Amino acid sequence: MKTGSEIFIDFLRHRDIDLVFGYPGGAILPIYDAVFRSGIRHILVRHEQGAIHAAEGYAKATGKIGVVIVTSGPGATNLVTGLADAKMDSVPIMAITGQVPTHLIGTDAFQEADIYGISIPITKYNYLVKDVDELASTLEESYVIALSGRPGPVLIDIPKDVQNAKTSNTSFVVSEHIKKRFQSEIPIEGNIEALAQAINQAERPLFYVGGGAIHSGAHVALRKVAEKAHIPVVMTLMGLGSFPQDHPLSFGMLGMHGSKYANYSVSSCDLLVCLGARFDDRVTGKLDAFAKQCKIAQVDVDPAEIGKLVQIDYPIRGNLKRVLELILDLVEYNEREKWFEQLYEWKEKFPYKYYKDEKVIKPQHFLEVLDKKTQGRAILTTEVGQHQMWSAQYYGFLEPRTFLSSGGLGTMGFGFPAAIGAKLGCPERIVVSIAGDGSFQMNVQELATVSMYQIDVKIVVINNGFLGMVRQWQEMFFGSNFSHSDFTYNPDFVLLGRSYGIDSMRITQENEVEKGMDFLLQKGKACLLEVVVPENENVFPMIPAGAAIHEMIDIDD
Amino acid sequence: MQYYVIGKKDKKTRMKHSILLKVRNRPGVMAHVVGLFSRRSYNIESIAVGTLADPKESIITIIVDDQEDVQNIKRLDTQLKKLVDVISIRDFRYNESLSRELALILIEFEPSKLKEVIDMVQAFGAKIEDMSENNILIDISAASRKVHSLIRSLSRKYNIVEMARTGEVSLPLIQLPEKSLSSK
Repeated sequence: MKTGSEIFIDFLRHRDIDLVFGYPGGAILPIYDAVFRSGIRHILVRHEQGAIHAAEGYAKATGKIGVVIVTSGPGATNLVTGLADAKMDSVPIMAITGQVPTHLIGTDAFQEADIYGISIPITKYNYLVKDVDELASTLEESYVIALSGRPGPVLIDIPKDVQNAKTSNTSFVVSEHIKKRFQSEIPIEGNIEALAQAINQAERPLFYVGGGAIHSGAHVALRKVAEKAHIPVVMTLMGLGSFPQDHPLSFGMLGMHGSKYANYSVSSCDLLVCLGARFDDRVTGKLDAFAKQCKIAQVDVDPAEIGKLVQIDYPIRGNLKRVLELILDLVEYNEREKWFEQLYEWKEKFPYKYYKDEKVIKPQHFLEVLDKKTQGRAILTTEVGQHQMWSAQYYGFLEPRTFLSSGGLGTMGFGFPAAIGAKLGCPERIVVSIAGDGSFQMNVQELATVSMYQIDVKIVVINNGFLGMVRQWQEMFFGSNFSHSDFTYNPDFVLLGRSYGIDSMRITQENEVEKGMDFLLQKGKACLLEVVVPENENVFPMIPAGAAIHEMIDIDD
Repeated sequence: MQYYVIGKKDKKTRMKHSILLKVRNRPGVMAHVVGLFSRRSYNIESIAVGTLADPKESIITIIVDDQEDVQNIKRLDTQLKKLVDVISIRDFRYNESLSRELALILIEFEPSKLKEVIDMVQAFGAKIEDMSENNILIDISAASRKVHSLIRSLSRKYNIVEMARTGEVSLPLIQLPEKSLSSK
């Protein structure tokens, strides 16, 4: 006989989960007591949102499941943003929320919230465990569901009395239904031979690669196929790192703030092969002008994504890595001289461009220096906005799971706690959190977490005194009416970092960049570097709202 | 057994689909299914649920109106299949199905109208379950349109005191070829 809390600890051990993130409270005390006695590593944050974003960072960086434990009521509702974020970006998360005792559910008890009802649309699946006999199988099921196929967050709401109740049902088995759905091999549906033939016959094929390539670990297979068949590769924001950007077949990022040459390639290819991407509106621009001139293939593990927005000529449902491995045998090398000539011409004519300055620090330049100093192999986390786009554009990601960003939901406040999780998951890597001054203040309280556990994250605050991306849109489309995007007050970020016991420094001049970089990247301790940049710097190129993918505005327009 | 084929020529019903969802009978299953419809903006015309022979499984019948195009139904199907509790899905055109709904209607009338009322009830093939000198409790199980027609006729001449209606359930007709868009 074991209590619910003991079963939970047994489960963590059973699945080799050695790190959890959380914040205690009344309704989760029994589990916290068990966690304390178990010696399992627990990271105490300063806001539950920090816990779930840290778990996301950990999961994105390692591919393992991120576990977060919080209490009922406000503790649980503070997870909502993170759950929605994990669902959108397909991040495997197990969220354990305490709940008031079963006999009090529905009575508006103290710190009661219907997190089960609230989280239905923002989780892959969720549970309210009313009977301790079902706890063991529920935990095992949620682990399986979170990680199988297209990963996603699973929430388990456990009432306090269930945590304390005893049961002899302690074995971690899933039901037949779940086993069949989630533990059997995902079949490959679709005609791989036809796709391979289409690739071989295409004169201007293009690989459009998204986050799915990283989730399925397909980067090696992708490279082999691209090289064997000689096919250019463009990536979405979520796909960055799935193909090395210094490779001659890489044509960078496409989409709203992707490169001109990547976007032009989409509008002139004759076969667009979508691999683990979902035709998101940030990529396609006006959908009825997107890739109209070519045939389209799509490979995805989620059948609901295939043909969701665009008519697909070669649909294939299956695990991307496996599909690519099968295609590898069927494709042939094709020189495609004219196509590559055109692509390299565009690449040379339309690189990412910004105007260098001798006095002020240009954020694009800062990121280029960071890229050089870390050889493109650091793990970068970003928040959301201009700095996020510049990070995607000017840092040459070479490996998967090194660009951790909130793409689908676009959550400000994601990056800094995510960097904490990423560093804990990959201690041997340099982990840099890039944040704007707006985003950084959303989860700034996690500076305490960094200090408490002496986590060596490199914290960069790109300070332009504005909500940069909003300001850019207001400048371009709202007659420069900077409505409430102007941070006329910002704290002194250096003093702020120091008040949390973190070495901090500010640079404001271009000639300080080297010094600042050396300070930031010094080994073994967390550092905060505030980089003051001009407020009127904008992200280019840009596909304005309602425009087609090839109708970009560039810096000189 | 008599049954009605809803007019194939009827434009409104031509676009309707019946979706049968076999699901695990667990608390929260309805919330998951209905939530999917609402957040993907599909309109549920009618919904009914009941357990199957094995009480751990339920069948949910949903009638949707696919006004735009058939692609919507395919998309809806793939999303429904993603729901963890869904065991299998069957969908078919409403026009190629046998559909029934049930209504219980309590009406009030002048005692002198009793024979007239009974005639009307019998003409519709409905049953009388309870009676007093000026009240009758009617039970009708028929195609939606027929139920609707009875209610309309009753309300014109008499006073409907109370009414309860179920959602529609449907199964494909036997003699028509199985033209379902997806089945498992």
